[in-house]
Amino acid sequence: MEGRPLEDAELVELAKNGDVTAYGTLVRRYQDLAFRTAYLVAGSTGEAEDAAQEAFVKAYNALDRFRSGAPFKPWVLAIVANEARTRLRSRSRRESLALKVAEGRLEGDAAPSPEQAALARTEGQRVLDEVARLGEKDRLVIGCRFFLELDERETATALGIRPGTVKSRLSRALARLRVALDAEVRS
Amino acid sequence: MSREPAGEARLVALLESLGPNVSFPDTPDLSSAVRASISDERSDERSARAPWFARPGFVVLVLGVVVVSLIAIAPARRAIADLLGVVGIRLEFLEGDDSAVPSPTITTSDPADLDLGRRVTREEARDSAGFVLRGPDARDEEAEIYFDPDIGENGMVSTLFPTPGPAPGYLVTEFEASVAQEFVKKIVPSEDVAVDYPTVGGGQGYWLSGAPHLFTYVDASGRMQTESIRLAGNVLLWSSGGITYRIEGAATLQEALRMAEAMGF
Repeated sequence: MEGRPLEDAELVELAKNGDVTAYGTLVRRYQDLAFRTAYLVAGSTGEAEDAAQEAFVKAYNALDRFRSGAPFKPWVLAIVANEARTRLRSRSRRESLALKVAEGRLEGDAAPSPEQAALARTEGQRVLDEVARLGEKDRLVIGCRFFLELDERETATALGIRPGTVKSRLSRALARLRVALDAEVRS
Repeated sequence: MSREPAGEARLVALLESLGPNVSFPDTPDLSSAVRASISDERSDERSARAPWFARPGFVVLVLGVVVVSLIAIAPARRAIADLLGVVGIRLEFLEGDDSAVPSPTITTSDPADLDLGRRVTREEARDSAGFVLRGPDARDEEAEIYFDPDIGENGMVSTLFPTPGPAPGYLVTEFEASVAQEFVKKIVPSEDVAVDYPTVGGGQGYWLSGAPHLFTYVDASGRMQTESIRLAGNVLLWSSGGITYRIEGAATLQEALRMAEAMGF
């Protein structure tokens, strides 16, 4: 019989002492986020899978250097992003990243009419297509804040920048995204 | 043309509603493969040897007394911190620079990522470097030696000590900086970078700990080069006899100082 699920910090402590099963729980808890982060960087599911897997192994081996009590999630995502970037460098061309709007009604819509829903979906897809075409820094900060739902502090850790920098970087990324969207409309 | 704030706010609202509805490719199951890799490595760990500087019987020549005086400097931003005594290194704290910072803490398993130059044997390193090597000369077959002729007056020698698993462990580099060439180390200020000023080998040393940093230098042909050091982010730097030494990968200052001591400083 199982009790309540363990907190990250508890699992980390167990893993530090060699409890591989506890670490497996952490992996399962964050593999979605890890894979998606790697996918945002590398644009390929194969590379993303390799990067995320390798990152979890490296994170395990680096646990003795991990400050107890620090948040595990952004720390491991930083390792994932690094790993994905490393793999990207060794390939000559980034495959194209494909972000899709999910099927079904967009969450948060209060019973829109069918036309509104269709328009929202089309516009949403257009935005995602432009995000996918942004440079890595812009794409990642937008991805972290909006698609992976990391808060500002977590985004800073995952991207290896200062918390104060996240706001300005996001602002610039959004400005560039708007320019790209406007240009696309005009063309 | 839309006004900036209204335009941005609208885009933010759109992204916020999109966020939970972005469809990513399905996540594969990673946990079994990860567990398998970890279990393989743990059995290797049990047969690992102690690090080279902690092995019994390693002869330590202590030249002079190493007095550790730590002046902890708050990681505040400053324009330039000129380092007297470390030949050819200048620490520069950048103001609000958010250019790509390597992610914190983790080591990279591929020596090629560290841009150390070409792999050489101990003998080749001695012949190629135009200065006497003080770096660890452990009878350690696992240590990897690299030489980069473009750094410093007479090249840079790097000795990489592996630890079990993918993390490389320790990196010791030495190069002869000339006064004419200034090696600038740029530190991106953050809450996670701290600078200490220990004495090493009777001279001024620098201990940078926390987040990793970019290392910028002028190479032999006068070109500014930037490399990002992706080890654990802790570096002990000092110079002696015109040669600059760097130890990366130590978890604490005390550990780094022991390594320097084992090298004869």
